[in-house]
Amino acid sequence: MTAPMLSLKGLVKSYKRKPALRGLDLDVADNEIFALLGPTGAGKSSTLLATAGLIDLDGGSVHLCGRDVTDIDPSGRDVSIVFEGFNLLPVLDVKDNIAFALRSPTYRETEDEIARRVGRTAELLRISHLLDRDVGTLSGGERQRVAIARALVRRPKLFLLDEPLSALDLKLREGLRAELRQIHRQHRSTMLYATHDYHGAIAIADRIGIIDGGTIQQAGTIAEIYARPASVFVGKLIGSPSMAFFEASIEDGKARLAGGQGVELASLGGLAGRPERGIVVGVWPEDLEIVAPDTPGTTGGRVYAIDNRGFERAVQVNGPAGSFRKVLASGIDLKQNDACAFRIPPGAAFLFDAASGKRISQQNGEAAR
Amino acid sequence: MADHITVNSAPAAAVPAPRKRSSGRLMILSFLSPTLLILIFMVAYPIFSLVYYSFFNFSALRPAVAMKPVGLGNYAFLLSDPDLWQRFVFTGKFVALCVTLQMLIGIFVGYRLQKNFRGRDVIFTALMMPMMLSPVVVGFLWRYMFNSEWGVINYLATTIGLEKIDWLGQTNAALFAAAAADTWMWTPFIILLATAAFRGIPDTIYEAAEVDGASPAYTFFTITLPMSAPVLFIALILRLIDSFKQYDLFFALTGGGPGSSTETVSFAVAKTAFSYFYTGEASALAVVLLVIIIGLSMILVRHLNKMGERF
Amino acid sequence: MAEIRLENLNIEFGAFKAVQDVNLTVKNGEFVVYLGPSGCGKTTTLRSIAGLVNATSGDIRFDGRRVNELSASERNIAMVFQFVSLYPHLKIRQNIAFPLKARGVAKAEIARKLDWVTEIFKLGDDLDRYPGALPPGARQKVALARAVIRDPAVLLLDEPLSAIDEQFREEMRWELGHLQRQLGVTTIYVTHDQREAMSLADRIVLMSDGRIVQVAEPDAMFFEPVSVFAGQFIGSPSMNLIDLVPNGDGLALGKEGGVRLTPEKDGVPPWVLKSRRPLKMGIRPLNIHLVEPQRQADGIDLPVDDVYSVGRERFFTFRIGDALCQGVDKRDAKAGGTAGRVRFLPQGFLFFDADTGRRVTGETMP
Repeated sequence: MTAPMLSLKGLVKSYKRKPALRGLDLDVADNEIFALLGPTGAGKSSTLLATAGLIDLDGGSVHLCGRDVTDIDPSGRDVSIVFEGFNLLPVLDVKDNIAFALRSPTYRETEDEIARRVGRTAELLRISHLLDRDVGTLSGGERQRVAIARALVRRPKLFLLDEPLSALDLKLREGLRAELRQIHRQHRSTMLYATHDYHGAIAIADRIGIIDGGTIQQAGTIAEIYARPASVFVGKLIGSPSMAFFEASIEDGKARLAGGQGVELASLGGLAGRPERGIVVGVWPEDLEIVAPDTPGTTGGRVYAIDNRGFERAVQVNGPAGSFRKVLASGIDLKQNDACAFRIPPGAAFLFDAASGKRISQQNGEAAR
Repeated sequence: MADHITVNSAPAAAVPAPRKRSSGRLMILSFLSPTLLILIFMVAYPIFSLVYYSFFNFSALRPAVAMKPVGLGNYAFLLSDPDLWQRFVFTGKFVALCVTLQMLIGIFVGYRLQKNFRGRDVIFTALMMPMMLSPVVVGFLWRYMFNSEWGVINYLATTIGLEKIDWLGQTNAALFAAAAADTWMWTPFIILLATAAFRGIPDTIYEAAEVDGASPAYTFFTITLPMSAPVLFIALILRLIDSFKQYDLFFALTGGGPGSSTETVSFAVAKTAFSYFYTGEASALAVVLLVIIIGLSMILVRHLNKMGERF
Repeated sequence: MAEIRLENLNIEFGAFKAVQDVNLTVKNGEFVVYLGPSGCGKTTTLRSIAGLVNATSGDIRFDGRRVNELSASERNIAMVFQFVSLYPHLKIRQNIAFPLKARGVAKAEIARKLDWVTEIFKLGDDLDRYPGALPPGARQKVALARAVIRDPAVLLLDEPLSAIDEQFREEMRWELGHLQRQLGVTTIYVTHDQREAMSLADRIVLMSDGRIVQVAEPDAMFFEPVSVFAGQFIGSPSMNLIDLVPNGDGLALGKEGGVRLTPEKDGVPPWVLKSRRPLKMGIRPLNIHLVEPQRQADGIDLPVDDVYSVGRERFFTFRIGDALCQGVDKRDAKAGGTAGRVRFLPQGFLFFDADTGRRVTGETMP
């Protein structure tokens, strides 16, 4: 069992008494792309900065390749970072920006070697034609590539990316994501990629870590997270559309949705613990079945709005227990304000404690859906 | 085909214990010290000396001679002096007149000048000129213009059939003359700030107002003015403080006359300190002035903070 | 509520032609979205309807009446801007009431309308707060409330969601859709985000370089784009565009001509092979399926590069020569078996003239 490339143990950090990291634990394996997914303020940037050594920690330790580097300067950690704003040096042209690190005392490469490496990296990112240009004349997408090239050229052990694509428009983002993935597959690097964009995270990552309030809520492959989401927070972040939640209470061995269906607890593999303040039932929208109103064993609702995208149609349904959004199967024709009903198929529901948000149903070790 | 990136060609030697922490603070201190030193010597020390001397019967002409501490004697003397009260009243009238005129004219002109039009820059630059002159020069300039015999103002007055007015020889007329001079000099400042404030309002707000059906006048009073309030308030504070301590202008324009009826409080301080050399007494008066100005500023700044929170 | 008609609209700024020859009719109560990249003229067109920009030539008509000469306040339009347009120094309640107060509406009437709007937009809790205290999504809702309170002839929205965070944007999009349908007001919406356009519009007006490229309902825009530009602008992931090069007496895919086309098997229409002009093939990612390597079946067959799944969908990439292509298979994973190859679905083929970029079909072939 090889040691993980990066191991963060119990990171604690506060900025002027406002806590940013509260005991964060994370392992990233060698040659893995790990996406750190969370809303603004969750602690993503702090995690990356701590890993790079650009901020001092109040507690916890950072281990690279099994070595404790917590007290070591950034230059000694062999980590490179691509910032959200790219942070290119405006006074240098593109090739000098890329070569910058290689010319520092820590590396002391010869000029020939530098030119060769810069050339190869530029080719990899398809910016060879921009090498002599001034940074200020580049477009957003081009600057992004230069920032990545600058980080890549040093061939670091660990590659940190802090929302590198958020400044770009949609088409550019998709293109660059695909390229990053290509580069990773061909050249094998370990990446820790922080983002608030769910689509971006899943497009690129091998494993995902959901971060909120300075700790990791859940980490794993997307399939694992789908099969066993750890909390309501995770459910709200994952999926497009994200998980649907309904208020419910336990009666007669069933979780009964307010005003509707009762889900057999047995089908969920039992509960871990008794919830104090009631429960929340979560279901992936893809699993929900829309049926005619007033069908027995279902929960009623009304169509709030329709999203007709041409190639598919999505609907928002509001009901007494909660609302959800779902892509409709072809053939179902609903209009705004129509009455309808939905059913949760057996085994599709997750139960969460309403107070803590944590999942309490055990899912019987079910196969990933 | 590029090499595997995992090949590590960087030196593995780790730099022990980070040097970042302490060196940072030392650097900060060394950069700040020149400014700090200046502040201490040029501001803090003189103010403390001022307060110190105000408790003494002290004259700068004879520093060695009996420096008798008189406690609050200087202050008591000042506060019982009717002339002093008269000066406060005069200063107050001056301040009220100046600030009102300058704000009204300044806002109006600023409003007209906020949009770009041909020649705007030329007009704007020309308008800024009076601010560039020194108050003493302005004072002398207007003194000649207000001369009751051959001054330009009286000349213009006679051409439209009015009688010549003895501007600088009567207290009330002198008050208006001084206010005119001060307004001429400082309205550009208000224009500058007002224009900046008006232009700081995003175009979309104006567009929204237009789409909403608001007339230009309605827009000005319900949107432009309220949104510019913080900046205009700053302008108000600054002009208030400035005109309160006005000295140079009166020195040049009237010399404090006729008699001493156009002496502002500041003028009195200067006279007491440098004509009569009652340094202790002057210090006391200066302290009184300082307290008033600080008091005013504090009230107004607090008001400003409350306003600023809203945006 | 009104019908908006643009006839031969031209807007020029000096020598720069921002909008050229635009003809469009927006039906009463319709939700029309102007879509296009930055600088395509969509915002300028919107602002000319608002009265904030003057048309150089052409007519703008509301219910048949020419409004070119009227100012913005006279046209009875309402507008929601991309950036802050709420009056920051007024409470929400005063912001919303502003248009009525500015026009001298009676107090009782203002109160009545305010109640009505508060009810619809669910603003009850926020009425006495200031715009600065609300998140951007809520602020735009208030801007919308302010726009709607006057019963305008048309509601104009200029990229209202661009300045809002990703997750709130989706919320707002659904709200907008719901509200527009409920209120039934004629709405014109400008955006560069094709997802927004596809979700909200009854019809989309795609613009580029000042001209209208295509006007159609979302599904027509998606399945029948008139040009390469239209095909690639709409749809995410983007439509794949592949060169068709002569190969022997047939055609092959990709610049290097790696994959030969055999019409009986691929489902490529015969007229494509007989075309005298060079063509390109477009195929949308969702019209590409993952299949098992050995299955003998019809269709263009290529090895797959990389697959990752999200929920039920499997995203994959493959190469044709040097070009990277993408696909999304939305079917249940079990149906695909051990997917190692991709297959193009014949119903997804779109063919474009390689020079002009316009789409060609069997009927339009020379």
